[in-house]
Amino acid sequence: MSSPNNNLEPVVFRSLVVERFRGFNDPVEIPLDASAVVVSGANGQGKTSFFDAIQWLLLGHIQRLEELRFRKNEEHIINRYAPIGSKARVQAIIKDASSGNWITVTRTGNYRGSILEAETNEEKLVGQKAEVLMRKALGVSTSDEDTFGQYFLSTALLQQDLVREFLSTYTHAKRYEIISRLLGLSAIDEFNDKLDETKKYIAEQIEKTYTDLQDAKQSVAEAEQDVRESKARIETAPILSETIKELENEANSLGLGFLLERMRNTSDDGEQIVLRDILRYEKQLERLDDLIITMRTHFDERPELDLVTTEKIATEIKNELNEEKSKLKDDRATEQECLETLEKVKSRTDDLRQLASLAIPMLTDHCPVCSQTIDTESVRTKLQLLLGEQPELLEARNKYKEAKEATAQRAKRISQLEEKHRDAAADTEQAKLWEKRTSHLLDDLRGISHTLETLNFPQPFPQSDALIDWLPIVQNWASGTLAKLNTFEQLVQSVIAAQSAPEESDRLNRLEAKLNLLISQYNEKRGVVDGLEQVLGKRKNLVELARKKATEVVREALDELDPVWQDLFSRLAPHPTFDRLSFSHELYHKRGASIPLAIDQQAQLEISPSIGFSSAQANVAALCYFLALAFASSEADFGFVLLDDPLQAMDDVNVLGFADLCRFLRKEKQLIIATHEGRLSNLLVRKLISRDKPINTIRLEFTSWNRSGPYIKVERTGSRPEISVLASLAVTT
Amino acid sequence: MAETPSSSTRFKEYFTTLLRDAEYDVRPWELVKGMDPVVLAENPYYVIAFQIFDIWSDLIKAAGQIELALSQIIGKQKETAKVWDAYLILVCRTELHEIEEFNQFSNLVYNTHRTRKIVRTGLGDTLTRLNEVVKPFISLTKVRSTAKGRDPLHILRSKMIESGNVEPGEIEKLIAIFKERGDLTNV
Repeated sequence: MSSPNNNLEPVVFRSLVVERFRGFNDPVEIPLDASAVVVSGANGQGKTSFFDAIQWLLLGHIQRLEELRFRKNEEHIINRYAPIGSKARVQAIIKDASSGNWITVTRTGNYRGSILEAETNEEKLVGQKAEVLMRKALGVSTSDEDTFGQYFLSTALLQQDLVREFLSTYTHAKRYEIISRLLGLSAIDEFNDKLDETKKYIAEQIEKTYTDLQDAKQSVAEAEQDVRESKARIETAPILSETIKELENEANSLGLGFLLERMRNTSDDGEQIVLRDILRYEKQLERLDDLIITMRTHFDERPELDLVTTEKIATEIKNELNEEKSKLKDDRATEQECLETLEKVKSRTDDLRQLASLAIPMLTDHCPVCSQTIDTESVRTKLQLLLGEQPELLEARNKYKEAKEATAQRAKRISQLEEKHRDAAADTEQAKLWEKRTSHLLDDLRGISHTLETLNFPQPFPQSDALIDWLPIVQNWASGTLAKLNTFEQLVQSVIAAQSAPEESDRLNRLEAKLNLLISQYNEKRGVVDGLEQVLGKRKNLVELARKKATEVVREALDELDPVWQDLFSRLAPHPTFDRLSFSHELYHKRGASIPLAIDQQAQLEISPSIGFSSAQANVAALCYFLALAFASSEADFGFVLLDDPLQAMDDVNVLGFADLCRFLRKEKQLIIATHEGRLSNLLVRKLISRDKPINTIRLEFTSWNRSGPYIKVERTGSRPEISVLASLAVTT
Repeated sequence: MAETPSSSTRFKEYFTTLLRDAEYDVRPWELVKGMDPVVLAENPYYVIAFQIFDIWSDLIKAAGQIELALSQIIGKQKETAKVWDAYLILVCRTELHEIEEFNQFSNLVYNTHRTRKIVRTGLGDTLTRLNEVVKPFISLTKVRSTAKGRDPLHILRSKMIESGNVEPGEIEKLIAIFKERGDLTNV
């Protein structure tokens, strides 16, 4: 393909075709063959989709949308109204920065991925080869996809939010990393990181070796202790003949001759066998001591009454109880009998009382049947007696009361006897238990006495009644015997020590040899640690120096760019007193840190623009940094700048200054700039129309949007020379 | 004995030089009758009037008259776009002090009704302050990092050796191994 453009103006993008991509549905071809393209239109008409299309074409993704996607499989590339199964396509004709030839690049795909095709006069490449060709054509040295993306977003596409992010939310270290990369100095940081890694590796090695060293030190200390102990044993070892003689003498006086015999009669290891016997005797004596204490306590807890007595008492109470229970039966029968008599008498007297009460009112002087005279007074008196309490009833009632009381007394007595019987039974049970426990203890004592028989255990074994008086005798014997056994044991140990003296000398030789070997190993390891520590010390200094000097290199490279952002900042002059923009480049926590600064030169004050500036002023500062890096980066020399609505929040003075600045920007790079404000787009077009060279300015007006995509009105303006004001003044004068 | 030019004259001469170097047509012009002539500079895009004052009160008094006169002479050119590109550069050698003066400064700069005005104060006798003032009217400063095309590790190596705190052989060896993607541990 041949170049359609003269060389008067920088043009990278000649045209762009967008289809099924985000806001675009039907294919639209957009002419871009001018060094200044002003994109205008109200919000929502497709301007951002236009910039997204260029970004997607070059990077294969849209950075600002990556973090906003709720689901990874959310389709954010293909137009919502595109036919199902279709793919997004963005195609551009771009100029190869090195050859000046035109290349057609086309990206097709969706959210899952995309593929790039690149077509030149000679060849057609697809995939990774096409990506590499495109990056090279755009004048960017890196072949790394991520770095290319970072360069593009840091120096070619200005989206206000992203640039502000660079200024205000990136860490100083992250900003340093990006800037040093853009300045082509990333190799220094990579080198320093590698050096740092080696420092850490050496430190880890020291740590590891140091642990070994500590272990070796511990081993040496232990071996030294073994040697010391061995030497002490040799020094304090007794003379064999003397110790044997002493043992013989003492064995007889202690009455332990049988142990000496046993030692002599055992061919090998007689001393050890005797020591084991002594140990066994000692254990039995300890058991005996414990048993005596237990028995004393047991005898202290002896019940008041013995088993025979308690059983006799219980039987007596039981007999009496049975007798009383028999009497109670009789008492209850008598009580029942009295009750029945009482009932009968009561019934009879009640009938008489009733008759008397009826007869008294009817009483006359003469019998109504025989007319015989009646002694009414006498009869009335008798009848009235019948109405009162009858002696017979009183007697029956008293008898019943007496019988009832006798029964209750009997029952009470029985209850008392039952309680007594329970107590007697409990006493009997306790006496039985005590007897049983006594029997067990005596069995234990007999068992121990049997094992200690050879040591002359006190005899004879007494009856249980005399046992309590016999226990102190046994206890005295036990403590005396234990003392004798201890003495004998010490003498046997002396014999053993005297016998083992020559063996200990051999052992000492072996221990000393081992100690020397361990000391030598320790010294070797100490040498390794010392060597590594020396290397680490040197490496630490080297890393520190390299970081410091790397910061100097980056600072010097940035200082070279200082006039560029100073130039840009002077043109826009957003702040009345902070009239200089800079970058502080420091070593912070052993890492490079880049800190943006605004400076009041007269007052010699520094502030961070993201903190000290208003939003509009900070936008201007961000714009200056961005443009400076775009125009002066040694690594990312894109031939174009895409500015998506950079004029937000700027006042008239800033806007006028920016419009003037654009006149100069277009001379260096193809400028594609968007604004949503019609007034500003008019101003930009007016300012950008050429008045000297025959070059074009294109205005793309996104006038409306429907489901087919945006409607774009294209206006191309050529050069419009102006009449000189000074010339006309000269004519006037 | 030749007379020493006044400070105002020297500033105007310096302005003239800067703009002529940037290929502007420059000449003095009595824009307001009875007032010191301004310096007028023009190229196909801009018409710029430059005036310097010793004190702020003189500047604020004259600003309106100069602006009006400038817009009138451009207005005489029918259908010209330059009415949008007329700039007034007003500089003052002394600093602002009073609040009233700062208010006047803001009102003057932000009133873009007729022309855009670039106003700077506190220039004293420093001619080079004009370099910043005329920046919007001249081409961008062109700088490319000198690191381009140079081996950054070579620059680092030189700086480390210059410091005298490292053995040249050691750092050279480390860099060489790093470039070959080797292990730096055992150097």
